[in-house]
Amino acid sequence: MGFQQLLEYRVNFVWSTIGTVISTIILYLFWVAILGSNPQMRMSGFALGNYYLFITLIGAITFSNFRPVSDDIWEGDLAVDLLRPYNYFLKMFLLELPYKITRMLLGLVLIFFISRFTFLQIPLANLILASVAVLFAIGTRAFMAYSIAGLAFWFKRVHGFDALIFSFGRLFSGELIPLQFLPPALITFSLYLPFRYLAYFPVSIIMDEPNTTELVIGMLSVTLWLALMFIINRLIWKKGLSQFEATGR
Amino acid sequence: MSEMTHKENFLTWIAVHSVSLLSIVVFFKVVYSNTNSINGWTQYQTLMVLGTATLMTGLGSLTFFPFMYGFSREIQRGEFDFKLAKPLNILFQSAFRWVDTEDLAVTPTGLLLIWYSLANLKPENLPLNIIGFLLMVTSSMVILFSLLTIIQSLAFRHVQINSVTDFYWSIINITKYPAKAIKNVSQATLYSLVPIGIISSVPSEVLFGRWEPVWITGSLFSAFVLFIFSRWIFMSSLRHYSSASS
Repeated sequence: MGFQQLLEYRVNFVWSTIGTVISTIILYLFWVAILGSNPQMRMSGFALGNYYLFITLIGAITFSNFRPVSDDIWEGDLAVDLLRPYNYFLKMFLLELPYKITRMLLGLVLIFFISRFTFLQIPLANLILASVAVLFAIGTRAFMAYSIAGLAFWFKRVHGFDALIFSFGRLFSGELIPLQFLPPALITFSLYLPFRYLAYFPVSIIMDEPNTTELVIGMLSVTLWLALMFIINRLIWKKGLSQFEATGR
Repeated sequence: MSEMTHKENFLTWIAVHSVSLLSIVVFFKVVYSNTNSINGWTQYQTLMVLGTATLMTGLGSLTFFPFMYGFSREIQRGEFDFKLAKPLNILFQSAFRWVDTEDLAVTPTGLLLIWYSLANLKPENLPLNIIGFLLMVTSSMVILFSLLTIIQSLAFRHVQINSVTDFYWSIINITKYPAKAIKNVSQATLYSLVPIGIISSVPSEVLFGRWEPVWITGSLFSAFVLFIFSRWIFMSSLRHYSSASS
């Protein structure tokens, strides 16, 4: 059903992808200009290009949309799904899966072509570890989205909460600025938030940055955040469903 | 005003926009802690661009940004028929549906950032610059409106274009960066592909006293041509509309 939706409304997918690509290009070019004005900043234009390519790709793969879930709650359509013999979250996750797979395939094609011209090499071990980190990030981001959507049991419009959390989180996710350029205090602060593990941490593994200790701590952290988001999601939905009512039209 | 009755939602959006703006200000502060200028653009000139883009986001939300929300759904559900039956310009009806008061906080924060930048830049001939700035902001808003009209016209052919909202917001977010600071990277190609970056850079330049006749004329001319073109596209696309109502 998810693939059917993707193929039927191709224009939707195209617009979404174009927007992401243009934003990433502008951010990348701005950073090239920044690096050009201060050669002491330790990151080559080449590494920066790879960084923004990977962070955009991983950001697109891990992204989870809360709106369909909050719409189902607010419009009462959730009642129909609750009566059916499947897990609602699994259904919503599987509906998004084709978009994630398509973006991943597009990204892999792009990386393949870039690696042919720039001799980009990613060690296999790094690739495997990064893949595991991405899987955990997908789960964490999904539970975050469903938790935010669950606020629709109490609030009419919840996209403000999503925007608030991720406007703040964007600074610490590495999507706006490579985290190594943040002041030390902010870098330390980012270690205690989930956002860096949604995109920056897998990218840093691909770019062979963390040492063994940092890698272990990072993998433990992303696992803990996944568990925590799962628990928070369960609590919100348990409370929300206990007072959920749906009336027919 | 009905949006403001949902107090928690309204207050949340004030917090959202404040935090969002603050995070980008922090981003630029971090960038400029490592350099004095980026291809001739200083910290406060860059913050001026950010403030101008934020101001235009606020003005857009109060006027035509709601065009993005629900237009394609109206067409899917056949509710667009009722608009066609009314004796009012159809583009005007579609584009200026309602005022998005969630973004009410954006305009003052944009003005605050512009004021902060001006206080540090101290440009000469400020009254004249302000007049020029208002003219260029109007021109930029016309360009944004025209682009949105062209994009929304796709709804007549493709029906579901919800992701166009994400695409348009990507464009709006691009205007927060000083595109004219990006040089030596196929600039001509860049400007042909993403002229949106100029939307906030040119008004900002006028405000801090850098009047460049070519860019000013180009912006005004683009606004005029795009407006005519977008209107033609919208009305032409309307011919592809077939009612979905029963």
